Amino acid sequence: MIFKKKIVLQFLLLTFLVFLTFIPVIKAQEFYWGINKGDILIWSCSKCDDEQLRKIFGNDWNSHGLFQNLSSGKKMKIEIKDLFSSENKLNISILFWSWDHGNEWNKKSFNLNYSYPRLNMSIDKFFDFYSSLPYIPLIFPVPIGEYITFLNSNPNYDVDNRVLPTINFQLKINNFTQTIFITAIFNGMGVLSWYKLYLTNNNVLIDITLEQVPVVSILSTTSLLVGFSIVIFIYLRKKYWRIE
Amino acid sequence: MVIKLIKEMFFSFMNFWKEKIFKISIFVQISYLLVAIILFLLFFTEKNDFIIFYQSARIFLTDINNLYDQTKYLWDFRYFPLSTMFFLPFTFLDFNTAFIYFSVFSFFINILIILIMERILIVLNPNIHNRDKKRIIKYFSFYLMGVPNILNYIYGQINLIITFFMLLSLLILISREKYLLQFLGSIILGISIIIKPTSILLIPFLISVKIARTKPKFKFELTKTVIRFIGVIFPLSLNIILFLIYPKLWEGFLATNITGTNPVALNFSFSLTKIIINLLWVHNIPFNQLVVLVTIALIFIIIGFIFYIIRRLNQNSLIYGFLLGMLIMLISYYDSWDHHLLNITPLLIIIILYLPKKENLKNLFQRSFYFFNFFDLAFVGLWYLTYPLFPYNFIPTVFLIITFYGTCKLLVVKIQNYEIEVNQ
Repeated sequence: MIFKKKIVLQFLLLTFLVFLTFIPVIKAQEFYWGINKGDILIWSCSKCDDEQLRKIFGNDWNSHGLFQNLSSGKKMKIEIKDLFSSENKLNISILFWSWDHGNEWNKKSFNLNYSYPRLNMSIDKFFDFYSSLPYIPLIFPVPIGEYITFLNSNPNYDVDNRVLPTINFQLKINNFTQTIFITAIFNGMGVLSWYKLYLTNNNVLIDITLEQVPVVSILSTTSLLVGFSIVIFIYLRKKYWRIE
Repeated sequence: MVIKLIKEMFFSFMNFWKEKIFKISIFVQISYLLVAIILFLLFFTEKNDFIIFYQSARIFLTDINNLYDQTKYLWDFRYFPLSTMFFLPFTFLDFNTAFIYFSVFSFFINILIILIMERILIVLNPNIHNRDKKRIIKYFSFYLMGVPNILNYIYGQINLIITFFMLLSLLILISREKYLLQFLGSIILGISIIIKPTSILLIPFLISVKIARTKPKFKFELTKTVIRFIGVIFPLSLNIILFLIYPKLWEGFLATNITGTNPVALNFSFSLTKIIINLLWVHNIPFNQLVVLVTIALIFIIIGFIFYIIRRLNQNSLIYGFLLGMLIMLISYYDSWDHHLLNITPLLIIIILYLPKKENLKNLFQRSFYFFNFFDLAFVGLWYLTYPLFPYNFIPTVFLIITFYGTCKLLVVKIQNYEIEVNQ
């Protein structure tokens, strides 16, 4: 009898714990901005195949927009100037410093404004991101996985929300026979953390990453690798370097 | 005979039920089931794998030519067209009810899995109950408490059905040498491959051949091998009929699985192939996904198969063949997730309980089992923390490769008192 009671109690406790985990999930269905006013975000470009990009998009591919002056080794900065919402829209205003080696940031900046549907009502037409490079926005409202899944985006955009919030985009351009692929991965704050533009067989033309790596990632990676090395060391020592 | 078997399985279950740990494991299973259903109803209604199976069955009924039109699915449908037949009964229900029925069905399949595992152990060693009853129940209970079970329920995945058919096939194949039973066992394996091709790499291990230094030095049972191959290929070949009737199906199947250009997704799949692809992707090194997959698969298939045919064991080697096949699949396919481990943990339990108590290699299998059954999921959590710097979920891969190594070694080492203990 006591055993039965124990089992029932364990069962109830387990169910209660599970219900606790729902609470933030259910509340999170209201979309909002994951970033704050005043936040500064910097992206860096580790690869940019200018020659190929000129062939595909024309000589002026990096003369305007978010990819203005983009080349390998350069950085881009934005500052969140304002975040506000209306009945149907979530709006964001940013200060944008185009791609540079970092020295001229204080001199040249542009104001950019974006707005996104709140998704609390049905959207009867496709939501288009951009019709030119980079084709993908830098920031989305959060929870981003749910937002990009339910956003009625153009069918050319394939949202993969199984593991990391990812948008895949395939592009065909006149005069260029190959398909162009874009993969954009976002972090939990709704910020673009990885952007790759590539051709078949992973021939990467543009590789951009968000600079700020969370401290927790540095600590976790270090702990994982150190822990694994220690286990291997102990194993080898036990097996081969046994002291008689 | 079937009624006798069902009676025996029922009595086995009642015997297990007498043990406290088994009762706890059943309650844990029911908790997993309830948690999955509640999560589904509240949050995952539009985001789980069962949607794909359910949707595929509906399309099969109404618009078969567009079965591989991926715009109709949340995620890609990649399986054989006949796999949809299995889900047809669920399409008569609305989606939410179908998910709940399917989850409850999976729960009962899990109970059947442990009962079949017990049958296999009895075939391997008829005295095993007298010797190891408590240990058997302990391991079965651990399996039911296994963390991969909850993910399997939450996603509405079909791994338990694959495991069920795989173990049923194994039971039939090892229980009698009769050709009719060999044929039947192979057909059942073929059905599991139709539902989901996870077990497709078990096919090479159906070949009954042995080349060894011990007697008999060469043994090749041609008739048995041919019967097994015909049996396993027969259900698969039924798909060909569908492909011939609907050529668009074949084009779609090929485009989705082989010729298509699916974008690379950065994820925590623990297959060696995926880890290599992640590495190449992160460092902008050109690669072809299919070439990486085929290379890794071939390396492990060749090594595994060589060890399998030069084995010392004279009997019941098929268990190791099945384990090798599943391990190679998990090591080499792009997507190897935590819930796929439910395909190998029952095989590990059978081997652990079957091996002589003093066998050194047993520790290796025990450690792998405990890792896969209880700790693997923790490394998925860790991956989410490390991925911006280090997107490689490599610890489960290490355990998979160690288990592969252990299985190969087990096939060729001399196991002390092995035959004696089994025959006692």
